[in-house]
Amino acid sequence: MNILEVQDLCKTYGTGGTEVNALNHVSFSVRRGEFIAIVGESGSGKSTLLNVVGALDNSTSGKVWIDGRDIFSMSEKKLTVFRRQHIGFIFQSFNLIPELNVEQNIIFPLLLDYKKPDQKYVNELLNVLGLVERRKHLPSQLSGGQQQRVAIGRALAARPALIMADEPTGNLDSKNSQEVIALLQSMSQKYQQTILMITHNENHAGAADRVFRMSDGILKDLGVMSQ
Amino acid sequence: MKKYLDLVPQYEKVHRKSSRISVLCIILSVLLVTAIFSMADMALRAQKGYFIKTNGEYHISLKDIDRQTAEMVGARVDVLVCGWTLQGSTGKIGEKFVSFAGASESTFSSLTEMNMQSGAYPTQSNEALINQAALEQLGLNIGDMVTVTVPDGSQKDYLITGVLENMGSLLKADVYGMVLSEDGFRKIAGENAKEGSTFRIQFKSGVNIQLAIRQIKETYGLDDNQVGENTALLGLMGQSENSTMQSLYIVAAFLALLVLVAGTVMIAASFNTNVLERVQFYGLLRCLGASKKQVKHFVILQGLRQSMKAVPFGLVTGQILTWCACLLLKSISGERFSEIPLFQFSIGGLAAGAVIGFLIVFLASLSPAKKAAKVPPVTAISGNIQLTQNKKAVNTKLFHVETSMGIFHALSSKKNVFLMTCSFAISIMMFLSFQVMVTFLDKGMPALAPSAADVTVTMGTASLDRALSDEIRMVDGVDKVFGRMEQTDVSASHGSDTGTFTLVSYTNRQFQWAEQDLNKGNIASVQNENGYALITYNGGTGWSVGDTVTLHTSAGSKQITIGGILTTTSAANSAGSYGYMVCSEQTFIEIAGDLGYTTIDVQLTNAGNDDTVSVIRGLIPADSNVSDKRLANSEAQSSYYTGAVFIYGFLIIIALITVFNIFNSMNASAASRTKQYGIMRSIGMGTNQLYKMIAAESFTYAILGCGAGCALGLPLNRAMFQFLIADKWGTGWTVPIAALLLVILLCLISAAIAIKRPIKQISKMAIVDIIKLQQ
Repeated sequence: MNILEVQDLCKTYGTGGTEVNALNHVSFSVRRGEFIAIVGESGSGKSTLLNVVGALDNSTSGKVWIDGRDIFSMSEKKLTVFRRQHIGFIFQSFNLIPELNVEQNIIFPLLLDYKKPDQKYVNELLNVLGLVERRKHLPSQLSGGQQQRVAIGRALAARPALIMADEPTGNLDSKNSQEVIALLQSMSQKYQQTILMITHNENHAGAADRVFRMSDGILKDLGVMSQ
Repeated sequence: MKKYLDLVPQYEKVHRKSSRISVLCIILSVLLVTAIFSMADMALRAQKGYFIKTNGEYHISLKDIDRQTAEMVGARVDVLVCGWTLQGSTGKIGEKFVSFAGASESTFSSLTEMNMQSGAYPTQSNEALINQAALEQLGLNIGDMVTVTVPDGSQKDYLITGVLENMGSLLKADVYGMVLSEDGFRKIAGENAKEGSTFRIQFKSGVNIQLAIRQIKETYGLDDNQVGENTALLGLMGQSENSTMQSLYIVAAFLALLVLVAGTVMIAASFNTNVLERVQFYGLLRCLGASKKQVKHFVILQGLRQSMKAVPFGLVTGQILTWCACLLLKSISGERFSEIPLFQFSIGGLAAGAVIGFLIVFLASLSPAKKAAKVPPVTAISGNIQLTQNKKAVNTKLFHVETSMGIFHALSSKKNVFLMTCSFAISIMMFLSFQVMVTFLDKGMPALAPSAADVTVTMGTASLDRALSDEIRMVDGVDKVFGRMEQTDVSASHGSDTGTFTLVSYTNRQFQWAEQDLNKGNIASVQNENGYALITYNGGTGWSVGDTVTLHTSAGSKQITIGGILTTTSAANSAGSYGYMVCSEQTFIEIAGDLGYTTIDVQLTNAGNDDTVSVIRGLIPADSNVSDKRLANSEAQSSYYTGAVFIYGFLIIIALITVFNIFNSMNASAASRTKQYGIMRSIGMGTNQLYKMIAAESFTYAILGCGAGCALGLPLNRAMFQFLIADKWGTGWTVPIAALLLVILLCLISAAIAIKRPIKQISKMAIVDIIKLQQ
């Protein structure tokens, strides 16, 4: 069953002579539990694709269905709630809330939904992420790798259908990068989570089930990449 | 770009928004300080002009001195002008009294309150100025001769050389006024002339007048009673030792300090909110090789550039506001503020505004530079730097997460919370302080009381027939007529203590009017029942409602219960040692008998004019007096209105500044957290939740500010009330609930409106743009 369906997606910046086609008739689909890596040069349109598919940005044309729902037909209010409940984000620069401790950062999307977090699941996440000892620490008291693990935990907290990771290892050293990729891979398998990850690192792409390459706004499915 | 400091304008171009907010804050602070100080300066000049016009421009007056002493005093190097002002002699023209005054022409024009309307000043002893009203009533013209009975009883003919401007005091006393030359006055001076004659002195500018007074007293052996100050004028010059003036100086200095602090806090709060952005930038400069000194230079130049933009604008707008206020005052109150300078500059006001603009900006902008110097350059540019390193996480158990975070944001930076709380609190404190001035105005310069009479009929110590009031009521142009019976020196005992009251009767209408002067008790029992009376607040005598007093009259003793205590009463006679006792006419007759009215007050309708007054004159006995108070009343009324406009004007400026300050502070605070809000929105925070978070932050400041404002403002209000009002009028302090609710409501509404704009802007921004900013 496809969790994500993208059809003829276009995103154009500027007009006339300055027109740039960041996304050029992009179409693809992703099954539940698949781990997709998107590679490509800087400026090829990877981040734009992730932002549009993740409902953070509008498209010029085309359609996106997540879990069978047409996200562009939703009102801003509904889209906010949908994003909160169905999409998790992991950013290159972590983007943790500095005022919240590790555990609070992880359960933040649930708190925004006024839901009581499932403490068992939270403990499990903290355990898997290796953050049990750090659960009461503030982001400023963590290393970069630990901060990104918190961000992964936050993305997983609401058990979203889809996780979008925009260069999650961009700010990390190689050891931490490998740990984060391994973690994403295991999460994808363990919780049947669908992950769309942008990376510059071909080695990291090897961990994915399928690899897409973006070039000048055009997406190409490279299939499975051998490590 | 030729040198590194050329980066400053480039930086401002990029950060136009935060720069604009800072510039706006500086403008507002400079505007506030300039406008308030300039208005105060203009008001002082106007009042000085007014007092010079109404009292004369003399600083001190000496009495009971001989001519030789006067000459010696006049010869002092610090004396600018001096001369004899001779008063205190009365004569008659026909049946009506005439009050004489005498002075040389220079003394008359510069040292007295009198003005010549037309004609020439009398130079010979048989020449005189006569007041306009007398001229009209007697049907005379300049150049005519008038026969006057002089103090020694003889008749003397005077040539009228000019017209003296009408004076409220002459009309009120129902007498004519004549001004003679100094020599002319001396020739006819009566016994009382010595009492009314003073030697007036105006010192040169810059003279320490109190020192000069001490020297004159010592040198010529004069006592305190012989040297009188022109208190109002010296008070406005800051040279009075009068106790009321001294307390006003302290209050004025305190209010000035509050205004300065408000301006300072506003600028400091604005600079503090965008400190993170600036610290990151200075960190980047340090990273690129700028020394701490160079960063400091950069910061100073940045502050100066903002001041250069804002200060002139603030000064100009402050000045324009001052001019508008002056124009308004002049237009609504021709008399009291007739001397207000239009289109003049106040050096003090402009200097205070400029100092606030430059100095405070300089000091406030040094803070981010210091912070940048402390932060390692690499941390400053990494994007993970926080304004304050949080030591504790948000408590999300009490409220929803967005509310908890809003409150946490508000409380996370001690300096920020202090400055924001201060800006709310100072506004409330200023509001509550100026509110006391409103009460002071009501008490000290009261609006014309509803009971104020246009015409008052009296007959010396004799009484008027009570039926006369009904006759006057029938005259065309008369609106209300009410009389008072009075009995002085009514002996009274209270426990073992004895004293005297002046007993006054009120009609029902007068009792209704007295409601507003009631400090304690109630009027109904006094009005409707026998044996009850109101008494007036009388210095140290501690009367309480329900106390009984025994009055001893020729008809016997009578027990009176005190039904209420008034702040003041209308009576012609002076108070007894216990003050005044006010009762109904029936009670009065039971105590003292039907004595007839001491005073009959008449209020005219709008159609009432000089003819109405003439008809009243025709009705009353020949030896009674008609005091025409219309001119004096209109002066008093316009004084109140102008005072009210002035004080309420200050209050409105303060309220506006409060609103702007809150607007700016919240805007700047929200702008500095834009990135964080973007992240939260990307994670799934809705616009409503964002609204709640920013609202929680704003209301945390507002509630803390209101709390601090009330905690500091109310004792201040109470102290000022005690200082300015309670000690003088005996009015008890009560919590100024209406003013307090108004200012708190104003703060809360401002806080609610202030967050709308930043929320709207953040909601409009695409989340992806904010995330791009992050990366």
